[in-house]
Amino acid sequence: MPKKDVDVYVRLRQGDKDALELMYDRYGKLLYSFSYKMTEDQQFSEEIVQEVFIKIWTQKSSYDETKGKFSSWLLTITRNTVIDHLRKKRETASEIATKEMAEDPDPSVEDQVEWNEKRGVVREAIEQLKPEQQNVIVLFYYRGLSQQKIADQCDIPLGTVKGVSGLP
Amino acid sequence: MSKRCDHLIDYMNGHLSEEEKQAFEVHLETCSDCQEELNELKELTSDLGFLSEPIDPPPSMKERVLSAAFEEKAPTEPEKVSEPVEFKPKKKNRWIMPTMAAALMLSLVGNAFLFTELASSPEEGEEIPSVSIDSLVQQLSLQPSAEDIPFEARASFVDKDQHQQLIVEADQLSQPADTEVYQVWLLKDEEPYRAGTFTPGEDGSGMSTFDIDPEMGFDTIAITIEPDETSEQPEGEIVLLQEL
Ligand SMILES: [Zn+2]
Repeated sequence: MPKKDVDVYVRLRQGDKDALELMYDRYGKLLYSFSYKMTEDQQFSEEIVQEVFIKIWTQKSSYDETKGKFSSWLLTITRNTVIDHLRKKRETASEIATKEMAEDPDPSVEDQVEWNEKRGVVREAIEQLKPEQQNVIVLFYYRGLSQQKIADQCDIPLGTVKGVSGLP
Repeated sequence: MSKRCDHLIDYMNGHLSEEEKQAFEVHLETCSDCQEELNELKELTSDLGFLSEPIDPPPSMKERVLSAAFEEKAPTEPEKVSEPVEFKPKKKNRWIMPTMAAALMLSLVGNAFLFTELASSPEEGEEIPSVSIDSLVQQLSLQPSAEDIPFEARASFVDKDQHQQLIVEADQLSQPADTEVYQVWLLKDEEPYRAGTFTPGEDGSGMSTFDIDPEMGFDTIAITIEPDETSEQPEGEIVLLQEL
């Protein structure tokens, strides 16, 4: 499978539209679900996925094997895209937090083998962490919060954080 | 460590102003602490996206996404976009790391699937500053016993509820013959105790976990190549021997 990803990617880079479609079939749902986990907004998630696919199609983000596994690379691009959008949102200060038609999406089953497997393993791992450790991961990785906010929400005294990081 | 280093988390999560961001990137070019930590964080988190609960995108989304992409110019030769250079991690020490490291190690337990580079070791024997986390007790970077042995290994002691766990993780291992295995030992007053067995995967990385009794007061860790996984005493070549 990973080998195949690379083959598909090579075709994609040569402008093969079928290759991009194949990529969507393979990873569209994963990236959408991941975006939703970060944003909890379906419309927003679609925009993110769209932007990611534009990035890989136009080679604005380009992959090579030094960047690790293809799927992990896609997830990283997706996260960066979300982070970027969140930042822009903050800057325009459009605090219109009213999500229209904010229904929760229906849970689904996933048939992608890699996702299924890793999901189980990662979840098992995370569940072994203490709740406050899980919280740090959620706040840092999925919510993309600032260090200050993570410290606040985790009840880590900022003094301690600064002490550890060498600040007065 | 400079004040700038404190911006790493906010850099990763896009919370710096444009000037701060540029200043941080300049800093990043010369600060090995930040380079290492950034890489580690990337590696530690690279599979967290798989945790997402599957939800179905709208059926019409595929059409929209693809046509939006095809409206852009088709790929030509890949531009050389300057992306952050990857750096090799060596050591680290900030507050979020122990958590990530704990997460990482737990995800590794019994599953050598994820990260090839473990949240690596601080200076030998140095304890990780424990701010919010107390589970990661100690991490060590292990040195091979001879210079011609290329591998890199790390040992971590993690407190569990009732006991301690030793996690050994290594890269660049040579493939042992047939039934041979890498055996980890903990020694006390030169008396060896078995402390984990592993064989390297195809990529030359391997790991083992082993429950230990912290009361034992082990003084040395060793790794040998044993004829098979049943050795009660070290018989084979010592690839590593290090005081704790
Ligand atoms: Zn720094």
